[in-house]
Amino acid sequence: MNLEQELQRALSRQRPDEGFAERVLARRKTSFSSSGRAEARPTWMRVAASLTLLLALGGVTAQRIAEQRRGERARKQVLIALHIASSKVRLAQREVHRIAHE
Amino acid sequence: MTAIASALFDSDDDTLQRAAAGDDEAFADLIRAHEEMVFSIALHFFRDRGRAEEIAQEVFLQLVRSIGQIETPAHLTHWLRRVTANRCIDETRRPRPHAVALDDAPELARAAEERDPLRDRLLRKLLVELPPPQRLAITLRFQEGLEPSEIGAVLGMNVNTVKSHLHRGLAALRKGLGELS
Repeated sequence: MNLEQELQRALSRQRPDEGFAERVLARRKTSFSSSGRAEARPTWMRVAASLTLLLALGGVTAQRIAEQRRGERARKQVLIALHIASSKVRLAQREVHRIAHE
Repeated sequence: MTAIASALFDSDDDTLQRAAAGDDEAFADLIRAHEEMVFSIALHFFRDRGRAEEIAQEVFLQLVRSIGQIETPAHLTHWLRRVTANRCIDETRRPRPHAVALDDAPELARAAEERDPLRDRLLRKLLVELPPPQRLAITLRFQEGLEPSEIGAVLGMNVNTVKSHLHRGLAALRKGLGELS
């Protein structure tokens, strides 16, 4: 018998263990249902991540607005204080001039 | 084509269409019709029944996703051979720490029927030691009886490359058998 005939015999087809088709179908059901969950999970994660991001951005924006308002209020207070101080200084200067002329 | 062959072909075509439409029983029939071919390609490639079963299952699971693209029963056979060959090649690139090539118990049970079971086992052992492309080319040639051009279509190689793999593989097997006999 030559090598080619020997190979044909040695490499003849063999059956897998009994119930192969049923094992594939069972695995298909498992993998399909788990892949369904796997597809659902990223959606949940995406929604959660988007909400978290929106909340974080909203928080940062609100904080900045509050800071701006505080800064604006402080600037106004400083301007009022300067205005009061300068009017007092002018008053004092006028009084000094009046005394000096007398 | 004879009337019987034509009827069988039509029946295969019908099974394929029903399986593509989601009929579980038709899909099971397709698996049963091709499980021997797919399992044996992987078995002769790895000489490991557990690994062959795993690869064969993965091939049919891949078929579930691709069945809509399969046009004819002949296309299905070609697709299964090609995907099995690719899976075998991919598997050789993956590390597998617990892989142990076990001798096959059912083969031992059949040994008495064979004329020279020890030589057959030796041949299969030598085959597993060949580089993957040579191993697949020889498996497709002698298990499936494919011509070099058909092997080329399955493996995505030109005919001359397939002939070269066959030639080198057979020479290595002859050498191995010669050294051990």
